[in-house]
Amino acid sequence: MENLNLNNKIIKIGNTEFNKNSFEGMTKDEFKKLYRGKLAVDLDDAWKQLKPKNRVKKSTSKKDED
Amino acid sequence: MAVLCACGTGGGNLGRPSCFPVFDVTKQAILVEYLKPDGSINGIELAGLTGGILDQTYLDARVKDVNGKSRWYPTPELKNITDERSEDITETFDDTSSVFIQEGARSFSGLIIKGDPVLLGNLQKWRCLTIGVFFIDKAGNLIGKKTRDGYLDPILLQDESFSASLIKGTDTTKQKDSLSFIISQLENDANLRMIEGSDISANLLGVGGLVDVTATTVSNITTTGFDVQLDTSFGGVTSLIPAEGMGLADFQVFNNTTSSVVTVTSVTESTVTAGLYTFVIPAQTAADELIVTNPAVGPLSKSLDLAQFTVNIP
Repeated sequence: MENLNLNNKIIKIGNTEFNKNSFEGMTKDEFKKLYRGKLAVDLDDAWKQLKPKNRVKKSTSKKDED
Repeated sequence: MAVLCACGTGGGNLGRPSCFPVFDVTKQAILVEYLKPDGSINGIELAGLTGGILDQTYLDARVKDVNGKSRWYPTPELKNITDERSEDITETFDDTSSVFIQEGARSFSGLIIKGDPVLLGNLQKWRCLTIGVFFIDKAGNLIGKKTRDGYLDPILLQDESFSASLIKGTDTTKQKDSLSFIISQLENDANLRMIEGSDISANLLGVGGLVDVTATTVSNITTTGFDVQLDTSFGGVTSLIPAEGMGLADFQVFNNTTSSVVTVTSVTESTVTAGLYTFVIPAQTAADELIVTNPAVGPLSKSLDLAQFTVNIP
């Protein structure tokens, strides 16, 4: 059987543990449809945490770029 | 065990160092299957201990082993321990003199306070197995036998000697499970050894065994998920104690129809109903059969041992 070492893939939001890798390619609408009525937390907030790459902003600091 | 006479070398020296450790009274037993599936003794390879220390990682790997055949099964604390050999067997002659034939059998018994029928049932499952035992004493030493280089091995029990029973409470006593067994005649007390408590950094004294978890009801099954109520075997028949605190890493879902692992998307533990879990999975095909088990690779992250259950996709 496949070795599923999930330790570095799990993110816990509220009382739910998500496999972060499962959301690659999933849209926000698909996420909200899948989890409608199933989470005790706000779906928009949950989506933000599951898609951290979307929230990474490029540094505008000149110093950082050097 | 027959003790070989050292005819060629004379008797053993009887001196002792000025300071040396001895076993203390037993507080817990660790039951193991004496032989691993590969036929080797289910012992502790001393070279496998990090820096010669039995640490928590090692203990967890043994107690929470996903493979029940090599797992350690520590008992709760034991009370009123007896661990004694019967009188030697001798042959007596007409002149009333006698000669030593063999040692009497070593019998062990102990009580588990608040032992109940569920624990009793699990103890009874050991009866037909070839059992080995390590002992944990009051000082936190781990006691086994050393009969092969590089290992501390479990002590072999006499086949079919393992017995457990329920002692119901009375006006003046608490309910208990009793536990007894006989050490194999193949064993020799002279081979008993220990890993001293000072070389054990794990929380060995008081270590708990796994608790059985079963799926009581599976509901709300769709192609993308299901709910399941997970309970322990303990509690009343209408009020089983729920299995709480489980998470994504505590499960593996296998599609038995397509023979493939299903990577679970999420597991939600209900905040309303203790032990109720909602699984979300990638879309499966109607009529597929899913099997939910412990993770394939251990050790388990919790002290909960999930009995596999089946989910039939509608």
